[in-house]
Amino acid sequence: MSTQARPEAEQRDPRDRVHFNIEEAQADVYRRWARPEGPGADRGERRVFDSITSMFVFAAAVAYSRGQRRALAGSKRDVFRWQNLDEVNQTVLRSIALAAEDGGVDALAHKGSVADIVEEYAAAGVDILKGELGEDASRDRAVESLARLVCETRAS
Amino acid sequence: MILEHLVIQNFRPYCGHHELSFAEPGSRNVTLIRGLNGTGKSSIFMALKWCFSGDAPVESRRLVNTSALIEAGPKTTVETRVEVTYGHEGRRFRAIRTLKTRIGEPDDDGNPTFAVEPTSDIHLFELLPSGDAKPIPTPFDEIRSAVPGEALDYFFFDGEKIAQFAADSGGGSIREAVRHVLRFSELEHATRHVDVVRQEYARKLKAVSGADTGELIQRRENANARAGELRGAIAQADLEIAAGRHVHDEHLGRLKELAVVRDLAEEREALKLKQAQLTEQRASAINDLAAGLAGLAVALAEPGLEQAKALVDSKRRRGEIPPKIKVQVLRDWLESERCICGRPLLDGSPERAAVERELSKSMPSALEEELISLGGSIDASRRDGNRQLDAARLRLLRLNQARELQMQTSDRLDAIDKELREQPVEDIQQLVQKIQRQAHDIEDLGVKRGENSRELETCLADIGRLSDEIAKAERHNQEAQRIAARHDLAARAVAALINLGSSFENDVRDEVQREASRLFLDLIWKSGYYSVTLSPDFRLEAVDRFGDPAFSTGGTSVGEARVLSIAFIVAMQVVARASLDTKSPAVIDSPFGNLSVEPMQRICEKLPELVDQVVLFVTDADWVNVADALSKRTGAMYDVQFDEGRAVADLQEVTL
Repeated sequence: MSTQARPEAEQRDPRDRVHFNIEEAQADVYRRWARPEGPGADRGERRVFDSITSMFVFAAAVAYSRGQRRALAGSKRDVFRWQNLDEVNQTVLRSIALAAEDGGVDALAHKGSVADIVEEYAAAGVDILKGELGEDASRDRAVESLARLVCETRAS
Repeated sequence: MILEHLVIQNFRPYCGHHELSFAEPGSRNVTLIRGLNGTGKSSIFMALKWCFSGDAPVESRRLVNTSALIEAGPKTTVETRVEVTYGHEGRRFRAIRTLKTRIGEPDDDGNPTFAVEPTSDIHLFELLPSGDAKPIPTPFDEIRSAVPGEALDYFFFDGEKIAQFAADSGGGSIREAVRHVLRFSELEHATRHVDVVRQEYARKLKAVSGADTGELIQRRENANARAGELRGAIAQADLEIAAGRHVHDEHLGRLKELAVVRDLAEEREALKLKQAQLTEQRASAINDLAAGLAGLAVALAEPGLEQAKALVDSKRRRGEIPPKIKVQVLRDWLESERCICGRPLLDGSPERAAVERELSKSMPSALEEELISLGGSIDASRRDGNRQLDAARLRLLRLNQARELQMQTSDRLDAIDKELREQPVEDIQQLVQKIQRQAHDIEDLGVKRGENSRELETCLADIGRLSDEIAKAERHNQEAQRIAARHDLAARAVAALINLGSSFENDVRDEVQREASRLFLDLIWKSGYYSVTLSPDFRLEAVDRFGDPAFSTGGTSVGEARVLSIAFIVAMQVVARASLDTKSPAVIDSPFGNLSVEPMQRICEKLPELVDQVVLFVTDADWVNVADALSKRTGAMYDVQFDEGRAVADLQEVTL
């Protein structure tokens, strides 16, 4: 696991400048499972997740619950900014980043550090989701499977 | 009747002369004719029936073997011949039926022409112990005394016509067969004879009586004749009422089935609606789950949130996240070089060093704010996550319930569709009208019967009164009295014989029913499920344990109907043998049809015990299943083989 250093300017101005990246190779999975955002997107179409941020946070949480994390490989794609996250998702990501640092609090010093950590969890999480659901799972089946996955994880 | 020997010549697939000897009554009383389908077994069966009755299921030309015609050549005559030697009540007979075919000149195309005689000839000879053969002038009557025509189908039973047997069971054919087998006609003949004697006495009485007495006697005769008519009408009405009730019951049964169809259709509609609702419920549950997925991320990351909260709390406890005011106070102390207690905090002093250490524990203010804000939001987020988790569990439970219900609904729909596919389409209104008409007809018949009964009572009272008057008028006429006494005796004898006939018919029906029921239940595996009845109008029926007729309504399987038919045939023979001390054969073509092995074997075990002589026509496949059961009872066995090259059949005796 490695945390790539962010540009200095980004570290100085975290709240406005922090972007979350995914692997370019996983962009297609996000496209299929998360409802697109932004101008021109078909908001009426039903997907497994109602936004890319939801999918990203869910993937990070899945990977964290299984203790899996890996560095992003290949080229990256910037998919959303820190301020796109609602308060609950911010709390989840910050908690994951803090818990991942094994007692230290430095990860919270800069939002960029939080992003670096959770991007690695999210990348591993998407791998897990692909393995759990299969790439061709229907939307209804995928939703049900994910809900069961959460309930079973919490039950254990 | 016991069959002894059969000769067939140029009959059906048999070209030339063929013979077959039947097994005699005793421990080996079974004759087996075995062969593949289509080799010519049924033609032997057909030959026996044709010989005795002249009836055949094919036109005359088809009875003649074509190879024999071709081999004989033009301008010759080919004789088709069946001879059956049989014994009956201590005498032996040979029945010979022949059919002649004249072969003409070939036609313009060179094809041979044939002219088959329109009717066959029957000759019957009694084979005397002296070796002479005495021609019987009325062969038909003699044969009927051994095998009544009405019962021929029951002694010579074609297993392939089970369905027809079942259909006939509603008519009078069974009644007629039982009456002939059991010699009811002899009793009826006796009744008619005694009545003729009574009429003769009545005529004599009229002749010797005075005018007044003669008129009384004439009136009594008229009353007697009317009483006879009324008795016949009442008996006929009884039969019609029984038949009408049977049809009425069948229609009611159909109506019940149609009511079931309507109920099924309504249930189907309701289930379809329910299924649509369940589909909507499932879709709604899935959408709710999808909407809550983001919140479930909190639940997944719960251990992380817990750990982060513990870390923040620990920092707070250790004073690593001091409040801003504390830092400001410490800074003020250092700047004024004095503690709040007045102690100096000079450079290098241990007190100043202690305050500086405390200040060094504080972290940058941004990080401090971050930690404080995180600590504050974790609890709220965890609560939110737990709420989402509970909601997801509930939604999954509902989803499962909806899915389970949908599967049950779908299964029930499949079952209903299957049941509906099996129901014949019929108009309920039409059926209800039929039932109402039938009920009305039965009521009319009942009223008519009641009227006839009342008239008969009046008639009988008149006869009694007239008899008294006649007796009074003839008191002084000794001769008239003597004749009157004989007339009265004859009249009582006629009444007694009529009653005896009726009672005998009922007794025989009961016996046949009892025997058929016992045998049927012996032969089927569902022995506790059915009972067999032979109704007053001689309708053969298997009644299931719910009291519903199973045979006539198709409630029995084809195999059970076959077993019931065989049980009935054998029952008739058993009762006939017990009542009349006569022997008879059971000749059954294709006895087993599609029966299971177990009833097949039971039939083979029981049949030779109950019937004097058994002749079975079996396929090679049947033989595999019944060989063990029959081998010890078989006295004669023939294989039927078919020569495809010549298109002729051959009979080969099998050495036992």
